[in-house]
Formats: sequence, structure tokens, C-alpha cells
Amino acid sequence: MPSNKRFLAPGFLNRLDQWLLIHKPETWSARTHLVLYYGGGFLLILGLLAFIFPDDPRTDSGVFNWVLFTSVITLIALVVWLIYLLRFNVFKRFGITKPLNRLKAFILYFISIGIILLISFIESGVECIKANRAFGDEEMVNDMNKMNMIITQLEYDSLNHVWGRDTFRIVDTIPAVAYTPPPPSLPPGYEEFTVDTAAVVILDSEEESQGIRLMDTATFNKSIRSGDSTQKLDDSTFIFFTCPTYIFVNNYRLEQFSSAKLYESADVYKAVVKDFKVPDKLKLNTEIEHLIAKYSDPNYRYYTSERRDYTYVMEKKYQIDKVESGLRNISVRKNFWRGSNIEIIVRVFFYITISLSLLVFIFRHSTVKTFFLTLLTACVICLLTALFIALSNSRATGLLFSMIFYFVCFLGISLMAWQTRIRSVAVGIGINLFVAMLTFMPMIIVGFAYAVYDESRDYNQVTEDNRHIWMFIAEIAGPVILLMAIPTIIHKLYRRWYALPEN
Amino acid sequence: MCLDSGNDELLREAIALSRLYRTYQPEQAELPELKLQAEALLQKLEHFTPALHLNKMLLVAEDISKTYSGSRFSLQKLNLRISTGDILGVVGENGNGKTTLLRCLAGQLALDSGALHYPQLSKADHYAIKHHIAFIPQRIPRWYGQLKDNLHFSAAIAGILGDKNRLMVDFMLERLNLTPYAELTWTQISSGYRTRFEIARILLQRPSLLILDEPLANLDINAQQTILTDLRYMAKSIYQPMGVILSSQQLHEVEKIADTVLFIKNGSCLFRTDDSVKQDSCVVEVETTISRDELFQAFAATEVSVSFNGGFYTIESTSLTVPELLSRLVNNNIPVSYFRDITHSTKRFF
Repeated sequence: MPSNKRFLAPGFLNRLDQWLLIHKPETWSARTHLVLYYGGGFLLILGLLAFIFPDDPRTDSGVFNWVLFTSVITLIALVVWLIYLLRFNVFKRFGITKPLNRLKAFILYFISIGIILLISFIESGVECIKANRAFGDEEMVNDMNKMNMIITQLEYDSLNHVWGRDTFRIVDTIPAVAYTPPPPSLPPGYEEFTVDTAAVVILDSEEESQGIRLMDTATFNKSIRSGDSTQKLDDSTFIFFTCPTYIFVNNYRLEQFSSAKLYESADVYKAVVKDFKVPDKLKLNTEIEHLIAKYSDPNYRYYTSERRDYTYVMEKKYQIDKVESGLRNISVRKNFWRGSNIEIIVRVFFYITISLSLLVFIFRHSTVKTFFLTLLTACVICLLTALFIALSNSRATGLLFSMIFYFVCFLGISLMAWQTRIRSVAVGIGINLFVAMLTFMPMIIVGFAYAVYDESRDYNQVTEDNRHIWMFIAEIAGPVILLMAIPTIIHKLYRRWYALPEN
Repeated sequence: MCLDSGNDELLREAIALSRLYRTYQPEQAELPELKLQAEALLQKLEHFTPALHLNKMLLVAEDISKTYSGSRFSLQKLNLRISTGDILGVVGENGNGKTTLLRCLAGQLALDSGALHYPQLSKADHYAIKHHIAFIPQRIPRWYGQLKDNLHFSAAIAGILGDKNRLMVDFMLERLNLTPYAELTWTQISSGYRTRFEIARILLQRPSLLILDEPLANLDINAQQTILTDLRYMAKSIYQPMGVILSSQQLHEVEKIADTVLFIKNGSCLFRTDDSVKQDSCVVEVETTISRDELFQAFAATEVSVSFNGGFYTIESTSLTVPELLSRLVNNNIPVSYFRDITHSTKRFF
């Protein structure tokens, strides 16, 4: 029977602990099984608490407060794990260790730290699930469209229904009145480029004081496609009509994940204004009150405006601010773990986890003195580099080149482990910094290549490059290279250096 | 003997017998049964012929020397050889280079000159060397967690896994009489037991050479004897013999078990007990209540030289043998409370 009696540990965990101790000492010493059990259990409890905890999705998200609270717990959990982790070390005890064991150890550190860090992400996940369960994407878009249509119907008599209009003509040469000399810093060709792609608004512009406004071809084409209404007078003359505003409640974030279309003013016009019929106001009032109650942020405080115009009165009447605040809060919660937010969250999680894992890995394979001197060296190098960049007025190329230069130096110093006959602190620092930088080197190299390209190219040259693809490949390549290097060169470097005699 | 058999069944029987003996209480009158079991085990062992591993060269140090930068101290050139089964004692006053020598031999300190060879390790890097050499410093680093877990861990990282791991840990605990303390923590045991646990841990890692710096420093007289006896037994083990190097201030205890004793002074090896050079004088240590002059009168003026080191008189003679010195003391009615022949002991150099 296992003799260890851990706090709240079931029998199987004690048996697993003992089994790992006598069969897989490397795995046992990482304590990942305990982190999985206790950390996973805590995540479950925290998640359940967050679910049970009454929280209105229409109100401001409490994620910030939760993250503050859970960060403290995460920090404590990390410290406790480190205390247990540092008790046993196969490598420093000169035990039988294979190259792949180093890789296994790193992966175990990554998993353990990852689980602990997840504590800080749990609340946002729960809020996201709760908000998505309470409000569907299509439901919200449809409700918002409905609100705008109802308000338009109810306030029909008070609204301005006059359409705006602008007349445009495509020209090859910009009229003198519209000609503005390009800034002297711009390269030759700018003017011609502008002329060739320009459209000009003429005659009846209501917005431009000079009655003329330039529009480039791309914007012009887009206006034709997306304008409320366009009338073609001849091959080069168009009238763009702008629908009056029938959108009172708006939240563009909602459309991103919804299959339902978020109405614009023109859509509302077509739906209820074009063939306007006198509505059943009592029924509409009931409906709008229901929708306002459904989406109003109960904690929203009105901003007391000095305005007393019609728009203000209407906003107050239909509690537009309150509803928009509620919609904004709901959409923020719903989108925590969706779309581009996921990329950000995954990157934050991944880079914090891998950085901490690298620190732990380095500490586990280095002497205490060398580890802290490594941190000091890194700080000093950062300061000196910042000073150099500032004094030399270098751009990104200077910074990135200096990082590549440092990396090559650290690699060179690391390789001296095979030459030296004593365990030198300098070589240890070199190895540590080489290991720390390795993951990020592909990104630094790609960044440097594009920085050089950007500095050398013509700024006005429109280019389609694949830098985001290359950067993504570099992001993947870095950890892959690290994982390949750990059982090969890194294992050999640390094994050679750590066992050397001291002077 | 059981460990020497390399037979797991015999080890289990030995563990069971040891546990039974430990729990034996005279009033229960179970000793005959215990005795029978012990005899049965011994009979089984008599039929076992272990392989011989003795006298394999483990370490050859050639002209090794070490100087610390910024220090006047320097370990002078020294040669030594250690084979399996050998016990080498290193004695000397504080600050004369014992620990430096041990750390050099353990591969912890870089040498200024000379070389260390490990004939049993082919193409070994420093990591492999340190895996095969165990060094126990005078101040043993603190252990964390349950003591037994530490032992299991040490055995596991030495490649002893699974049931064999449990068996060897149990056996080592019984062998060093540590079973009652196995589930305690470091702070719950005395410094003497800490040394024993450290030895148990090191032994589970199956080193070929064990280096101990002042292992007796924290031990009472009984524990010293137990540890020294164990060390000798383990060094001479047939199944898994090892070389042992230990430093100590307990000269007589070390000399009793060591095959060779080095006396280090100011970084130089002044004397080693296996020197074939015959001593040209006899030296004895005497404790008596009489004065130096009275003691001196028992001998002729030219026969001896007498010195007092604070606790004992040291009598050195080039013309008298040890029995003759003793008979002179007896014949002159000199009250002697302590008498020791240190002619072949390093004690004569202190």
C-alpha cells in the first residue's frame, strides 16, 4: 500500500504516485500527475463556481477582477509546484538519463505550467459559454433589427425621410480647383497615380464647400457596390443616394458570427418605410418594451447630457444607451473565445507557458549561481542594446540584427563546453541564453528579413507579401526546433557542462 | 551475504527475518523459531557460490595536484590507486587538504596537474564518472519529503525499477536498521541517522567508488562502529564490491577498517600505512597521573623521548620494543589508565 497520504488524494492517485516513483522517476519528479489532479480539480471547481455565481451577461464583464483574483491563485500554485518540483532532479543527481528524457521533462513542465495558467482563463471561458447559451447570434441580430424597425415605425412622423445625394463623374485629369500638390517627400509618380484613378464629385455636393471632392477608384467602386442607391446618368456620371438614418440601436460585433443580416438604414427603409402603413402602436410598444427589458444593462448609469434635442429625447425614451451597453457587454462576453480573440488568447497562453517552461528547464539543468547570473546578463544585455539602439537611432533592423548576433555568440560560447575542462559560469550562461532564445529565433530571423526588405523598398510600391504566413510558419518552427534540439544538442551541452569539475 | 547472492527470494527472506528479529520481545519466547529461520537461511546461502568481483582497479590518480587561486594552500602531487574492495582512509588535521583531495578524486574539482583514470569506465564523460562515483560531503544536503521516497527515487534513477526497487529499498532499510524511520522526514531524525540515510541512498545508486568526507563527525561511538563495520562489509561485498575512500579525525577507528591510511599535512601526503619502509622507532601513547619527570625517571636518559600533548604522553624509543616499554612502566609502578601502540598509526604524526 502506498504510504503517502496527500491532502484530498484518492487511493488511485497515491498508487499512481508510488508507481511513477519506482518506475518513471523523471515523470514522478515533474509532479505533473499531481498538477493534473489538483489543478484539473481546481479548474472544475472554479468553473462550476463561475457557472453557479449569478452573473448577468448584459452587465460589464467581471473577467478583469477574476483574472486579478485567479492570478494570485496561479502564482501560489506555481510556487507550490516549483517547491515540489525542485525537491528531486534526476539530471543533477547524475542518474541514468536518456536524451529523450530531457524532452519528456520539458513537455511535462509545459503541461504543468499550462494547467496552472489555465486557472486565469477559466472565468472568461465560462462567461463566454453562459452568454452564448443565453443569447443566440441570430436571435440578437434579429432582435436588433426588430428594435430599429419598431422605433422607425413608432417615430415615423418625427423622422427625417429625405435622402442625401452626391453626383460623381469619372475623370482622367483632376480639375485645377481640386488639385493639391503632393508633399515633396512623396516619390515621383504619385500625382499621375492619383489622376489615373480618381473620380470627382461635382455639381450638387452638399458636403464640400468647394463643391468638389476627390475619390479614388477603389473607393468609388466600393461605393457603387455598397451604396444605399446609385443612379447611372451616363458612362462616367453617377448619383449616389444616401438613405436617412433608421438605425438607432447598433452593434457591429454581432454580425461577425451570425448568419442573419444586420440591417442598415436602407434595409429598414425597404422593410417599413418604403410602403409605410400605420402600425398598431400598442402592440409595437409592448414589443419594444419587451426587447428593451431583454437587452438593457441593469447597471448602466446614464450620462446626463446637456443636449435636449430630438435625438436625445428619443434615445432616452427608448433607453438606447442602456440597450447598447447591454448589447455591447453581451457581444464582448460572447466573443471572448471566438474569432481573432482566440488567436490572441492562444498566443498569450502559449508564450507565457513556453517562457516559464524554458525558465524552469534552464534552472533544472543549471547551477543556481549560473541561473541567476544568466538573468542578470540578459537584463544587462537588454539595457545595453536599448542604449545602443537609442543612441545610434537604429530601426527594427538594428534591434533584430543585434538579437541574431547575440544568438550566434551564445551558440559559440555554448559549444565551448566541449573545449573547456572546468565548469565555467560564462559557458553556462551562454548555454542558458542559447536555449532561451532558440524558440524565438525563427521569428526574429523572419522579422529581420522583412525589416531589411521594408527599409530598402519603395514605400509607394504596393506589394503583396506573405509575411503573415512566414511569421506563422516561424512561430510553429521555433517550438519544433526547440523540441528537436532538446534531446540532441541541448541534452549534450548540459550533460557535458554540468558534470565538469569546478575550479 | 544475501545481497551477495543476488537472489531476490533470499533477500525477501532476509528482510522478513530481520523484521521479525526487530519486533522480537523476549517475553514472547519466539526466539527458537527465529533462530530456526535464520539457520535455514544460512543453509541456503551456503549452497550459493557468488561471482568474484574483487580487485578490479577503479581509480588511478597520477601526480594530481590542486592549488586554489587566491589561497596559499596547495595540494601537492599525489599518487594513489583504489580497487574494488579497498578502503582508503585519509587523515590529517583540519585545513590540511583532506576535503580538497576527496573532491578532486570525486571529479568535483579541476586538477592543476596530473590525471585521474577510471579503468572500469570506457570512453566515460564526466557525467558517467559522477554517476559511478558517489560523494557524501560532511554537511549532507537536506532531503525533502518522506525519507523512503528519497530512497525509492535514488534507486530508480540508478535503473532499479519496479518490484526490484521496493525490494532493494526495504533491504537497505533493514540492513542499516532504518526501517522504523523510513516514513519520517529529514527534520524528524538525528544527524547520525541522516548520515545513515545518506549512505543508504548512495548505496542504492550502486556506485563503484564511494567517497565520504568526515562521515563519523556527527555520530556517537556506537553509530560510528556500526557505520564503519557496514562500510567494510559493503566494500568487501562479493556480489557488489566497491572502493571506499573516507576522511576522518577518528584515527583509530579508521585505521581499524582501512586497508590504507594516508596522512595529509599541509597538502602533502606524509605517510601511508601500506609503506613497506619499516619504522625505526616504537611509539606508544600513555595516560597516567604522574608528572613528566617521574615518567622520565622510569627510563634511561637515552632510551626514550617523552612529549605531552595535553591529554596523553607520547613515548618514542629507538632502542626499546613496545613490550619492553610496557614492562618498564609496570616494573616502576607507574599507574597507567591508558596505553596504546601507535607505532604503525598515523597518530604518531599528530
